[in-house]
Amino acid sequence: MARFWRLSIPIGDTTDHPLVNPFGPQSRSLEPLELDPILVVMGGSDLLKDRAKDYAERLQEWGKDIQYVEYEGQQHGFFTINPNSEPATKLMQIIKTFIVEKST
Amino acid sequence: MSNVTTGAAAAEQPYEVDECRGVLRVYSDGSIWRSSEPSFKVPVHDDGSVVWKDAFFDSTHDLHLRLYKPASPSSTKLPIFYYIHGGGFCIGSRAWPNCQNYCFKLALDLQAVIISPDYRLAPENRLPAAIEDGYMAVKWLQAQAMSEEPDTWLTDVADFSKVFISGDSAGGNIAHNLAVRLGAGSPELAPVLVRGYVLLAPFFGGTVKSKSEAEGPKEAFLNWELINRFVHTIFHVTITSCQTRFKV
Repeated sequence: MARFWRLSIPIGDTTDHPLVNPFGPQSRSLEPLELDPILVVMGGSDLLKDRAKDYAERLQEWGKDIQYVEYEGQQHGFFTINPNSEPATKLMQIIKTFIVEKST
Repeated sequence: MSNVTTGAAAAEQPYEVDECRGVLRVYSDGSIWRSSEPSFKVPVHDDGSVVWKDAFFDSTHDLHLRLYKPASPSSTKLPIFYYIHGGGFCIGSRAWPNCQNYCFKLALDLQAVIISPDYRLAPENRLPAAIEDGYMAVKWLQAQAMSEEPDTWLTDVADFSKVFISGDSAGGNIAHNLAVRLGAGSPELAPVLVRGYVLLAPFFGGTVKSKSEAEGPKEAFLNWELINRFVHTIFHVTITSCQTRFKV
């Protein structure tokens, strides 16, 4: 993970870069922004889970339309690696419902 | 004297600094090698139930996107669903089999037009390049919606007022940054109307480690390792895992 950031963040910057860390010291506050609905999906065993969950919780506290879905025991990329697995199928249904609900 | 020169030349010989999934190598002199092959050579399941084609969206940076739609759509107008691939901002492509296969599934199961854009990768193009390209990929849709000579392959079936933007991992990061930039109702994209965003395992960071980052295994993208093993077993392709090597 550190490797990808080292290669992609502007030289001299850190993972607190505003495009990397939505809540970094230099990041613009998301609280006053009007945002469209956001669905956040995470595997329960993904290293990135806590950061995404925190993201969803903060935005929720600020009154944004945020839905957070977590799939227990699933790893990073579970839905593309095993697209016909049970959690990937459930995820597809969640996305479908999200589209229908937010289209009206 | 000649020995000294030889020694200095040997010391300056570029060595590998970073290597990712066998498809990207970065050398000490800054030079970069990329494979023309995907990281995971899984078979592509193109059975004709979904039709697709490529389109240019940024000729300056030679960037394409791939469009998918069901061959027999369930309704006359379908929502539009962006799927922005992952790969830590460093690897991945709209043309990789894992990305294509998921887009086929999304098009069929969601009964939607899927748009899967490429974006410039690091380290050749560091952030914000990928975010800017994601923005250009949605501006492209606006241009299609307003075109006087529309591409009927798209416009006949796409509902420009029902657009969703999803992204996987690094693509999820791009989707978040688009949500912030475009704001509610995406006024600068009119007549295109974004209705929502789907962040699939978004790749965010921060100097203060989260609990799962601190306590989990060192390799964040554990499933990639599983895929590598799968590919190795099934297709007898050797794929080296991401390793960092520092030579002193």
